[in-house]
Amino acid sequence: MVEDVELEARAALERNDFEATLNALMEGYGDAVFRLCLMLLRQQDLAEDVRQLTFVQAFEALPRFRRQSTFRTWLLSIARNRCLDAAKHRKRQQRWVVDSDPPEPVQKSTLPGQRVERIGIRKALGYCLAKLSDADREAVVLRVSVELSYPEISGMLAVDPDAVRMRVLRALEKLRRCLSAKGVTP
Amino acid sequence: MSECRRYLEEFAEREHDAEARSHLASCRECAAAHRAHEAIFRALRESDSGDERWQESVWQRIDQSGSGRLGGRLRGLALVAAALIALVGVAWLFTAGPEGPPELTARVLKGDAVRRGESAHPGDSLRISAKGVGPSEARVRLYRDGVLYWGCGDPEPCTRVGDVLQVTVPMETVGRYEAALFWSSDPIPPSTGELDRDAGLALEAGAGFELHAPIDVR
Repeated sequence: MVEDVELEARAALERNDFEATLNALMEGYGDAVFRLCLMLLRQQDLAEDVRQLTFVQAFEALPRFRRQSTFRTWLLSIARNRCLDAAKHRKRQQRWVVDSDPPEPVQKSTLPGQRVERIGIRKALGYCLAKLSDADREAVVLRVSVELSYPEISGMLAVDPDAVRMRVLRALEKLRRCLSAKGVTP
Repeated sequence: MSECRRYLEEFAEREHDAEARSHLASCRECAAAHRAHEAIFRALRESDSGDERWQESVWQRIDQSGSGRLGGRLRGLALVAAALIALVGVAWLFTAGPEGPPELTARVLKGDAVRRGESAHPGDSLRISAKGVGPSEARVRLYRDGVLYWGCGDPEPCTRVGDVLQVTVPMETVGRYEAALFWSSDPIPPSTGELDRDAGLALEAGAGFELHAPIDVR
């Protein structure tokens, strides 16, 4: 899948067909960019705004794309930077209200379809993500949510791969404990 | 749990799943730890897909910037618009005297400081000034990504001192902001909420129209 998107986008870029290139990238990586933004920002409308801005910026930068990385890591790097900007701004404005209230412990009663339980886990996960340090949150989201490899994350964050691995594992363990404390025992 | 760390690492890397799963089948402790993390992985990978029409919105933003698919067509339209503006400007010169068309400026403010360049960040403000509006009716409007973001009179009036119209508007969110000035001796058409349509209506009504260079808030 990733290889197909890369090949399609690369072929379009070689034809200088920037529109087809962007369409391929949006189709192939739009969800990943949104998921990254949503997990980092935990605010739906802001995540959507940053996703769109990411692709607008990517379109403007396509003629200068140097092929030194995959389109995927390049796009996710742009998205990550825009998310950091948006998060900084929100912090400055003290509008960090999302997840500020701990969610109620998830009730163990399993209603049909497990929908209620899944919503409970997602809400608790948002709260627990907010409790992580910025570095741990970023590492675990890049690794798990958008499935970048450790070397890719290492290059993006300019951090040693072993340090990235440690951050991911530390974050996973913190998430597990936090979710347990919230009554979510995965 | 610590004995199972290697298997969790491997699962996180997803590069040795077969070997890890083989171990998990025989190790109850690791299997429990694995299940716990697997559920977290699932939750971390699960999200809504956002706005269904987000790709269209991306193209709209690109088209509005003038560098996109419609760039050539927009450039053509821009030339036509420029010609119309020039005609309106000339007509205005004949009817309004020798002062020339108003001058529209927009400066990004971070606190009280003026920021150089044309990029800005959410929370910065934009100080828009229109000099030389004379006795004409004048409206300053600010558009974000082509959609009306702020306009004189709603809810605050612009400050008008002599023939200078000035307003400071906070730019709360990312996007491309464009300040526009409309002026006319006749009533200015109310905003439709969209830059392109407002400009067209103003030109049709014989009003003056000036658009400042876009300011990207990132």
